[in-house]
Formats: sequence, C-alpha cells, structure tokens
Amino acid sequence: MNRNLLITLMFVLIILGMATLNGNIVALALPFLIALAFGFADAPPIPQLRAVRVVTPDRASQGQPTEVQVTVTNNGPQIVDLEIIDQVPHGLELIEGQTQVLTSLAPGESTELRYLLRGNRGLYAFSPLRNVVRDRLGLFPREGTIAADGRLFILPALMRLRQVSIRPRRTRVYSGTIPAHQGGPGVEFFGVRTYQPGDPLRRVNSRVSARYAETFFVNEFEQERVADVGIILDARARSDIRGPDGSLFEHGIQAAAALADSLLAQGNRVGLLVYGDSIDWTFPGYGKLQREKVLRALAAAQPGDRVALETLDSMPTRLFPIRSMLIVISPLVQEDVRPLAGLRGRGYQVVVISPDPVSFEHGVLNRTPELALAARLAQIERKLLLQRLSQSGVPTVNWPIETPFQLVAAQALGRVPTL
Amino acid sequence: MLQRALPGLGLTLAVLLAAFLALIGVPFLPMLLVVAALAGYHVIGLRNRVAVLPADQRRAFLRPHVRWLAIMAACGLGVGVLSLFLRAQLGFSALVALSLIGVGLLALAVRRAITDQP
Repeated sequence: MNRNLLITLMFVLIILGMATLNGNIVALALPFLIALAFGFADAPPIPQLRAVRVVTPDRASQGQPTEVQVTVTNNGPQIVDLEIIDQVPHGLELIEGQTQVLTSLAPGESTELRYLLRGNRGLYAFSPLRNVVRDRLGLFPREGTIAADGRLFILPALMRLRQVSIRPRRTRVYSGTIPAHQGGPGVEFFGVRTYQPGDPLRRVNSRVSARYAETFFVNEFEQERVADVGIILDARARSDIRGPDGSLFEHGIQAAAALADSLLAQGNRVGLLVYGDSIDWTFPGYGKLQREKVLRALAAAQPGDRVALETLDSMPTRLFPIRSMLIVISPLVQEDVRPLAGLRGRGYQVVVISPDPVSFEHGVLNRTPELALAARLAQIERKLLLQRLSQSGVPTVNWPIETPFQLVAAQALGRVPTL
Repeated sequence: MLQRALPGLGLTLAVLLAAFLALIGVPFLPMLLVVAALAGYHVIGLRNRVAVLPADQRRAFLRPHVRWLAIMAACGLGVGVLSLFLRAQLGFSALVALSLIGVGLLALAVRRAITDQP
C-alpha cells in the first residue's frame, strides 16, 4: 500500500470533518490511522540475511547454458514479506527460471533462486542481491543489499587450427616440435659431421665416409625444441570497427585464442598482452593452465581508448623474453609502422596478422557507387600501409575475415605459404 | 502508468463518496465503504506483487496476509462503529481523544505481540 496516499486521505478527511464540524467524517479517518499504526508497529527490523551464489560452470563457451543458484538464509527474526531481486549482468540472457522471489522466512530458514543464463564472450561479475523487506500491510518497506559474489567467464569460441609450424630464430632448451637450426637428435636431416666416440653406428653416413680413408662421418638431425611466443592483441577502440553482427575486435579475439591454443598444444611458452584501455598482461607459461589463463584474459578483454595508449609506442616490450617471436593481431593504423619496426630493431621476430577493417566495413554498409570508390581508395591506403610495414622487415598478412583463419595462420607463420 | 494509479484513484474516489455520504447523514455505510475500499486497495496491491510467483508459492505467500487483512478489517470496522457510538454518547472532542489513546494502545500491543514472536 502507498503510505503517502493513506496519510493524505486521512488528513483530507480530518480537515474536511473539522471544516464542516462533522464528526462522522473525522471518524472515517480512523481506519487509515489504524492501518498506519499497524504498519508502523509491524515495521521490519534490519534483516540479517546471508547469501551464497553458486555458478555452474563458472567458465562456459558462447551459447552454453550456465546455472546460477543463489541461497538466501535468514539469520535474524522472522521476515513476513521478503522480496529478493537478483540482477542479471548486462550481456547475459535469461533462458529459464526466475531472478526474483517473494517469500516469508522463519529464523534460520532459507530460500533459493535458480535460473539458467547464456551469453556472449565476456567476464561477467554478479552484483549484490537487492532485497525489500515489508510489513504485513506493505506500508513501511526497507530496502537493502546482500553480498553474493559470483563471476562467470564466457570464453571465446575456439577455432581448432591444424598444426601451426612457426620458425622462430631462437628456441628454448626444452625439446618440442619447432626446428631449432641446430644439429642433434631429431627427425629431419640437418647435415653431416665427423664421428665422435659414443655416436651410434647406425648414424654413420657410409657414402661420405667411403670418400675419406681415415675419417668417419655421421648424419646429424635438426633438433626440435619449444619457443617463446608472445601474442599481442590490439584492443584499442580507434582500430576497432563495429558492425551489426559484431566487431572486428571479436575476430581478433578468436584468432588470438586459436593461436594460443595451438601453440601451447605444441609445448611452446606463450604469453599474451592485450593492449587497449589498459595493458592486460598474462605472463608466459606452458600447458593447460596457461591455456586457461590466456582464454580467461581473452574472455575479459574489451576494446577501449586511453590517451596514453593511443599508439603502440607505449607497449611494454620488456615483458617478452628477448629475441622471442611476437605475433601482433591488429587491424593497424598509420602510426603503427614505426613502433612495430622498432620491435624488430630490438631483436624480436615480429609477425603481424591484420584483420582487414576495410573489407569488414565495406561488407556491412549499403552498396553504392560512392562507397565502392571510397572502399577502393581505403584499400589502396591500407595496401601501402602493409607494404611499408613489410619493407621495415615485419612480415604482415592481411586477413579479410571471410577467409578461414587457418589459411591466414599458415601463411603468416607456416614454412610454406598456402594462400 | 494509469493501470498502476488505478487502485489509488479508486480508493480516493471511494473515500470522497464516503465523506459525502457521511456529510448528508447516512449512518454506518460510509465507514463500511472506507474499510472495504482500504481492504480492496491492499488486496489489489498484493495481487499485483504476487503475479510473478507460481500458483503454489502464491497461495503459501498470501495465506498470512489474508489472515492479517481479516483482522485489520474487523478491527477497523469495530473501531469505526464504536467511534460513531461514542461520538453520539460523549461528543466530538471525547471521540478524538479516545480514538488517539485507543490507536496508541493498539499499536503498542501489536508491537509487543510481534517482538515476542520466536
């Protein structure tokens, strides 16, 4: 009930009764007065509620339903009328269940909210529950919040790449799958050298040894090792383009996820730097745990703008091991050539995979002759940009997003270009 | 917006009608009208709030409310009739004074009854 309406009507009746000197009208105010007195006497104390939120699973893929279960327990006196409202984070869709409950709770009693959600890639933090406690007549409500922490990671869609064969200049000491430009145990033939005591006899190259009277030669194979790879994802809003079906940044996210997954599966040490509104750094590491860290960082990545990070000049390159391989995923802007060339100058082996913003934007706009001309000019400008970058010694691959990323990755990183 | 304001508007109109009936000297009916309007206003408010609940939960939630509503309506009606009687016997000023004392005592009694609950 609306308390203010009741008070107003009560006073109207009292004033009207006094003005007309009619006690019957004043008497009509009494039910209102009684209702208000009841409500006041029944006004609820500060509720002592405790909430526990369980999100299952707390990491999901896009479109996968996630169950949220919130249990609220009353640790105080009886609550006659309790309304609990849980707010679904923006970007998630409620597919089943209720996010609101209306109940009464005895001391120690619990109530439960259970619902299913799904959504797009992102890190979603649940806000505290809102609660409203009312008296029996609903005249004196008391609003509050109950802390109920919870997070949900919706990981980016993962494209499975066939093996990406990178050729970094420097490898680590651990054995892996990347040719290390060094002779030793391996599969691929690397060269011959003179026999050393301890070399297995089956490695003796009889043809070469036959040419020399007193020297034996043995075959050497190319060692295969793991490498340090840094993935740099450009999350600057200025280089992102949004369309009705998503943004270019989302394609970059998927590419970074696919590369990290593939490179980690080969045993490499992979780190991730998301460069945009802030610098989000995932320290290089190996294995499944690192894969999870990278995917979570990518799930939380959002494009943003910060004046200090407008250009790639501020990129903290010291985070990556010296002479390691850096894969930059960026749509690129004109000012990016110099900092990327600078990376190469500092000894990094830089490869740029550039989602094509021109073809992406062209695809979502209405086709007109003027647009076609503008797109041609923009393509020329972009080609020049990529050419300048390539001339600086930074291999750059243009990625029109309608092209499967597998082909682009093979072209950018593989031994033999396939595109 | 109008749908939300409709119960309040109905209550206001009922109260004004009751005041008019009281003014022209109709006995008992205005008080009955006010109490009924107040109860109706509360019920409509409750009904709107429980609309989000499934049927079984709705019934369980409403049961104590309906009980309280019945008590309130009986009290309101009883006090209203009593006040009319007292006014006829003792006069206007005594009625107001007695009513205020009665309401105060009632509020204290309710408060005590609630805080004594386990």
